[in-house]
Amino acid sequence: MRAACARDGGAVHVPESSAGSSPSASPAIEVRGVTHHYGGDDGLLAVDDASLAVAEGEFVSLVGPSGCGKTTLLRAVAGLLAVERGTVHLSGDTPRAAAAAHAVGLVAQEPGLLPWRTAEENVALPLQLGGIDAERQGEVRAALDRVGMTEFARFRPRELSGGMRQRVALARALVHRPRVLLMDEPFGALDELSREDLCVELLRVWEHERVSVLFVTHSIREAVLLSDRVVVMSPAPGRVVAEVPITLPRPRTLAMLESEACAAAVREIRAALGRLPAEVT
Amino acid sequence: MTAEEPQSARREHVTPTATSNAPTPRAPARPEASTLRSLLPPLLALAVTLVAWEAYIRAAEVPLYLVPAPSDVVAVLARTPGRFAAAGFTSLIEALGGLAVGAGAAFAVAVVMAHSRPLERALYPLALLVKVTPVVAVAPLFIIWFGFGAAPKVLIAALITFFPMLVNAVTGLRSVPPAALDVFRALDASPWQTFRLLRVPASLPYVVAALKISVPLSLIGAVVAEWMSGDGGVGQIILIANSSLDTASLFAAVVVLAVLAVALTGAIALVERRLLSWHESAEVQ
Repeated sequence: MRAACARDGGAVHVPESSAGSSPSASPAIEVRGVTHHYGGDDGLLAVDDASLAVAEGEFVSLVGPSGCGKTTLLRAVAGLLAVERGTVHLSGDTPRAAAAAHAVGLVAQEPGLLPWRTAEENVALPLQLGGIDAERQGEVRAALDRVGMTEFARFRPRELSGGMRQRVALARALVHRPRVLLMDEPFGALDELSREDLCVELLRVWEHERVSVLFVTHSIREAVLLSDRVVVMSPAPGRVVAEVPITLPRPRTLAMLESEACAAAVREIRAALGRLPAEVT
Repeated sequence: MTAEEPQSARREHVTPTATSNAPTPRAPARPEASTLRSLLPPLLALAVTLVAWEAYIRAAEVPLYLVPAPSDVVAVLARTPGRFAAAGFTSLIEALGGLAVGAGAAFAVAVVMAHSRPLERALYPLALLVKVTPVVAVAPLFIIWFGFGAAPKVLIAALITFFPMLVNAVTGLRSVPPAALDVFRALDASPWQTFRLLRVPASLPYVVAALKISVPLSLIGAVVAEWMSGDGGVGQIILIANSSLDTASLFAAVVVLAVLAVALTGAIALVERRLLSWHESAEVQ
């Protein structure tokens, strides 16, 4: 029933056509006063009155120590979690409405690929769920090409390395041209060299797609390298304690990690996390 | 932890280039050669057993009505091959029918139970009751209820295969990778899409495992039912041979059952190889 709606609605290719207020007026992601406990009101307070916004086409990272509610916030934006208090909107839509319009791409630490499908069949999943059959092959090939996985289109996940699986997951998250890309420590399980490669890859893809990104990470340098802005959260219960704009020029390169501007941003974020006196410069 | 190495040997060679952490495919194994090599030890063990058995029976002059020699069993099979083939075919059809009915019903119930914990709690004791009921006790009842045709035999075979499939299918339908489920939800997949594209394929390794357990069980079910009604099948041969101390025929019937079970298990292994080449279990065959 729902698949039929998506089929004739064609919402995947025309994101702005989804119901709700005019998308251009509201930010791509707007989180306001979100509070969430796990296990009822007496349970663990995961997020406490957190607010943040991601503008259209902006790359924002969410940085904080383990268990500060970063993932909780991201899951709320993805529509995977209904928050107790506060509101979450994606271009004016509720998260579930945005999901129904196929406006969201999701990449988590676990790639979550279907082991019985080849890389290209995995990438085709969002199109298949949206009931789009025509020109699927072209879109899938293009998405695989963007992440440099064309040669591995017919490989199963089990036959790929961790980094390659994550590339496939990224292609899958982008194949239906979402407005918003949500990434939850996508490179957290990878070795450092793979992480760097994937960061560069992600930057390249993002420059091309200009999708709005909310990127959860506990790597400060990764956040600085990728983002327009870094939102810093405190330890549990998670609160937004600082927002650090990153002024490094674009396109970004790995060499910028060595720059003074990068070091300054890292120091500022560390200070906001309470890891370093701000005056030690 | 995710493995950093590619793990399959089944792929054709594709030279990995371009990407930094490209895998290095292993040399592809030759399936025919490895199958032959894996079959050799059990065949050898079987041959040694048969020869030792034959030698002992002849040396100790064991009377035929107590234990027949392998050659006696072969002689019985060769004398009336049609009788054994027909009986085997009857039992096979009953067992397969029972497997289809029992496993099918179990999968349907498993779908319900996998989607609702309260329903699982409500239905599980009933399923357990079905499992612990001794087939030998209910077989006569089934013959009273359903007559002497194929129906009671199929139902007994179904009854005996129901529980293994139920337990495995419930586990399988629930064994969905959470990250994949998140992706389905973030794409607003319908329950039917999630079931068809995620839960059912994820359950297949468990379903195939259940089938492996169920195949010999379904044959046992059919044969036990045939004992009770005695109008055909391997069970009837056993019944008649037993009452007339025709031990060689009894052993011949057992051989027929063993051949059927091996053939069915082999068929399931083929299905497994086709359906589950993606699964980790494919690596350790």
